[in-house]
Amino acid sequence: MNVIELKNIGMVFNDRAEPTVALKDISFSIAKGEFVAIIGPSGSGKSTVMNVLGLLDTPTSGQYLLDGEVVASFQDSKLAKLRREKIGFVFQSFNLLPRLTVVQNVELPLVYGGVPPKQRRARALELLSLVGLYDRAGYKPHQISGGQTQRVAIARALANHPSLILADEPTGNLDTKSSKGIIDELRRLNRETGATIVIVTHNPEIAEQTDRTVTVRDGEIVGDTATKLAKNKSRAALASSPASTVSKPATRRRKIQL
Amino acid sequence: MMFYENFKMAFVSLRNAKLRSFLTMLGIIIGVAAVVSILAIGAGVKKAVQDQITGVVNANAIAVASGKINLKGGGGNSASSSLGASTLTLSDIDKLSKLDHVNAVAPMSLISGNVANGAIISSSELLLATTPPFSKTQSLKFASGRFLEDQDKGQNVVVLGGGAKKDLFDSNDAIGKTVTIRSTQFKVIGVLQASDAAASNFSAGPSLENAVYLPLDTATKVTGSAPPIARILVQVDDSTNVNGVAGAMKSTMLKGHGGQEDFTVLTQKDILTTVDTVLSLLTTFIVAIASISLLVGGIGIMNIMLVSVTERTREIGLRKAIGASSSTVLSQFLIEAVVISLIGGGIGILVAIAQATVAGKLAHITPVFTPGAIGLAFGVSAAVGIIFGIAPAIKAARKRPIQALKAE
Repeated sequence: MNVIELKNIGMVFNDRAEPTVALKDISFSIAKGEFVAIIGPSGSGKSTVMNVLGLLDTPTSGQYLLDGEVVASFQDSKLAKLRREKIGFVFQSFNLLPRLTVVQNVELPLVYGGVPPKQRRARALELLSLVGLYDRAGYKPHQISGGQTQRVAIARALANHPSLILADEPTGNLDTKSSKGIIDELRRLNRETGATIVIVTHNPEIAEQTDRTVTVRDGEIVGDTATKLAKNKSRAALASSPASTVSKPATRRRKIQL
Repeated sequence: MMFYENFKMAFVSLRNAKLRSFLTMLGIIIGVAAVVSILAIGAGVKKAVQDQITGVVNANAIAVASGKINLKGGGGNSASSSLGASTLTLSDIDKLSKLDHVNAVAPMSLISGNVANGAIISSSELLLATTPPFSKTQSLKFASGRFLEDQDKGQNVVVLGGGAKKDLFDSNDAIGKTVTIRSTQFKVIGVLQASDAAASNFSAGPSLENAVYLPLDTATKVTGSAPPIARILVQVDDSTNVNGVAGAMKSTMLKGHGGQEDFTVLTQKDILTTVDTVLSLLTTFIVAIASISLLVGGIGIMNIMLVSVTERTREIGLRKAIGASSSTVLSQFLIEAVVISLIGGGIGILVAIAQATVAGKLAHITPVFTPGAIGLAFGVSAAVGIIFGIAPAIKAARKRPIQALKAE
């Protein structure tokens, strides 16, 4: 089943000095469990694609099906509900609310989802364990590193069991080592939890580490290929053991502040 | 559920900008403190005045004044009650004295003229013509002698108030001595104790303790015509009958005056009402002035909230991206504004209590804090928060997530 189906999506910005065509006739679909990169240079329209996918912007033409549901013409409150329930975002920067602790940040989508405090705290801690930051739960965002911040953002994106995780230049502000860590983390989540992940990037090296690359240029899709990694995947999958359940980290040095 | 979460969020964001939150609250604190302390001091003054009046006024007394006095509207008098002409007659007195539960009825007329002892003239005192029952309607304290009696009818006798006696005779004995009023000789039969009570009941102005009294018939003889009756004073047997008698008096008088209400029946309660009306008017006026600072405080909140919305544009974008609806964002900012003004209101009430207590100590007044005034202060604070918080909250809610996220 396709999580995402875009049919002839077009986007024209009319609020500028001259109407600007950002997307022309974009059509593609992403199946459940895929790990996809949308790649393109600056101004290619990849961010607009990401905004449409994330229900942050409404296309001017075409049809968008999310989990089989036509979502193009929904009202604000319904879109908010869909964003909350079906989509998890990881942004390039300003990922966390600086005033809240790490665990409170992870809880935020659950707060908006109306999950009771005890359950959401448990879920948030479980997610922090998943990304290896259980012992950072009580820290404020400025007390942890950039890579860790992004991993917290990933944990938050997973909070409501979304159908889709959208990562917009998730490594844009990170050094090479942290970047690799984040991509590995996303890959691991994809493999272990079956989450559908879409990364938007301008960096071909990042794109190569996914299974499929959709290339956007001048508002059109100019390429849609399986990466080398994906071609080797079937063999690799046979060799590796089945996805194991995530174990909690051994270290719990810092007491979690509730 | 979301409401509670928004409350928590509001506290978190206030705690993170302590100084700014406090400065924002300052306007509300000053406004609420001013309003509440003025109300408390006003209520304290009112109570003190009431106590004083209740202490002086004879609770069993009823008075009838000439002309219609509007008691509810702050005491606007009709022409005949403020000028000399009188609508009250001796036949009114007759009829009133026949009513049940009435112990005594006496007229009170003002006479023009001076009291003189040879070359010494006392002109500052009130000259009153009345009948013997007057002494039963007022609690007069005598220094020596007695009040007018039935045997004095038509006689040239006078009772001197404490002030007149001091003016005319100094510390010498006045009983049996002669004074001159309008070229006529009067024998002094009684002297009242000098009183420093400012005003007595039913007659704003000089105290009845300091007035000079002569028999009504004698006054008619001396002045050449029956003097206009300014007041009729009635003494009721028991204070529980005051309202009943006042009603009976009104209907009796109405009959006598051909159905025209050209008089006013005053009870002690009415006097208090008049005092209340004046005090309330004053309090309302001062509170209205103090309310201006609440308005200014509200504008301060709006200003800060608008800045805060702009500053937190990306936060709003992020919250929307992870699933907050516009209405959730709206209530978040609105609740933040309300929380600021409610905390401000709470602090304002505490400041008011301290302020009014200190001011009360200095002015010897016990401030009275009514739950109504405190409730009002909280209500007004919340209203200020909502009214001035709604515009910034709407601004926040309307932000489109994608633009909010892009903002620097």
